[in-house]
This record gives sequence, structure tokens and C-alpha cells, in this order.
Amino acid sequence: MGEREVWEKIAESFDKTRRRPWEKVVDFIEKIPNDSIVVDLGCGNGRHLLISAQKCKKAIGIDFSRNLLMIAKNKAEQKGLDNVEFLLGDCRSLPIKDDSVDYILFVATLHNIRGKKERLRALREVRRILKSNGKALITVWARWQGRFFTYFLREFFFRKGEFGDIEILWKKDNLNVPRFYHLYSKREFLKELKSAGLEVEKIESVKIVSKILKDNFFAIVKK
Amino acid sequence: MRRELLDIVCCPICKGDLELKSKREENGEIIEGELLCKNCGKVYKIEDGIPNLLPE
Repeated sequence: MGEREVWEKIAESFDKTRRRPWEKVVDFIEKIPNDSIVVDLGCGNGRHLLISAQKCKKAIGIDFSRNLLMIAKNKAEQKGLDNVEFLLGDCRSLPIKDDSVDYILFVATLHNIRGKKERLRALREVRRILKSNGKALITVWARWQGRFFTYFLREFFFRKGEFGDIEILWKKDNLNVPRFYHLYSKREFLKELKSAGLEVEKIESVKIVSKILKDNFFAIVKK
Repeated sequence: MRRELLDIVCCPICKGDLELKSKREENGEIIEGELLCKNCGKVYKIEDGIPNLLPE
């Protein structure tokens, strides 16, 4: 099954578990000036995109799952939002003009792209479409999470792909579909951002689901 | 999609400007139609108001 097929298949089930926006992402959106154009890369069911639309001049959601985009679009229509657009697209080759976007949300998406080279392509696209005074919020899952301990133990002996690559089964609604993740170390994340030509304004470790270890990295970058 | 999106979107492959051929509109939203790349000639479909701009 290809990556796109995976997300088409789990879209409806995934939506049920992704209702609540992340507080730190909302904090970022709240600081965006009202006259901005915002692009949400990997917008999924639109949980952050629609908040951006309520706040800004225009919000554009891009995702490679049509099913997730339809879910997000229906939600926007229910809320009566008419300044939000939905594009079926690929983060590695964006259908957006150079220097045209004020703010980018790239939340919990980069880590789903297989292959370092491909992830770098996506980060270079972020840089390309961003205006010179624009900013992007990029978040990824952190590598050293307790819940993945057994994966790494296994990986140490029987590694497939790059170190940090894992497949997590989507078990809800009896779907049993494997989703790809690349789990980042902070150093690796910083290095990739820099090699894509992005300037890191701020990077922090954040707890989203974990109670003990920080399970996500949040970076605010500009070009 | 709305017409003014043409100021921002481009061909995902060659990044050329797109030309809109609208087939069905409702309240200013293009529900069905095509986006044609003026540079490389590739055609992208708009269905249910969502343009398919995958680089395939």
C-alpha cells in the first residue's frame, strides 16, 4: 500500500482522534497578523487550518489525502468560512508560487515523509514559498519516546531503512494499516532545517501525549 | 476554489502560471473545472471544489 493510500484509508478514523487543536500551535496562530496569507501543509482534517482562517485574510490547506480534505472542507462550510481553500498536493513539490505566503503551518507532517532527501525537498519548498519576512512553524515527533523503546531495541539488531524510521499500525476501527514515521533527534532536526536554508528562530521540546519525556520538537523558522 | 487563488497557485512541477477553465460555479466557488499550466501544458482537474495539484 502506498503512503497516500494509507491516509485515504484511515482518514475517517483519524479525524475522530484529531479533534482538539494543539495549544502551542494555537499560540502561534494567535500571533499572526490579520492580513496574512497562511498555508497549512498536511492540514489533515483542518483542526489548525480552520482556526487560521478565523484569524487571517486567507488560509490554504494542502494535503495529499482527498478524504481528509473533504472532511476539512465540510467543517469549513459548517462554520460558514469563505476565506479557506483546499488543495490536493504534495509537500515535496508544492503548487504555490515563490515568495507568496506570510505564514506556514507544517505540523506533524514532515515526519511522515519517507527518506531524508525527500524531507529536505519538502523543507526547501517551505523556504521557496515563504515571503522574506514570513515565518513557518514546523513540528516533528521526537525520537526518544518511552513508547517506542521496543522498536529501537529491535531496530538496533534488525534495521530496515534509516535509523529512526518506524511503522506504526493504525489499529482503530479494525483498520490495521501501517503508517510511516521518521522520529527525529533534536540535532538531526536542526541540521535538516539548516541544510534547507532555513534560519531557526526558536526550537523547543514539547510534551503532547507523553507525561514524562518530551515527545515533539517545535521550530519557528524564517528564510 | 475561488478565482483569486490563481494569484498564489502554480504548476507543482514547472511552477508556471495556471489558467482556469471553469465548468461549474456556485456562489463564486469553482466546483468543477480545469487548471491548465501556461508553461508546460499539464492539465489539473478541479473536483468538488478541490483542485488536484499532485505532481503526477
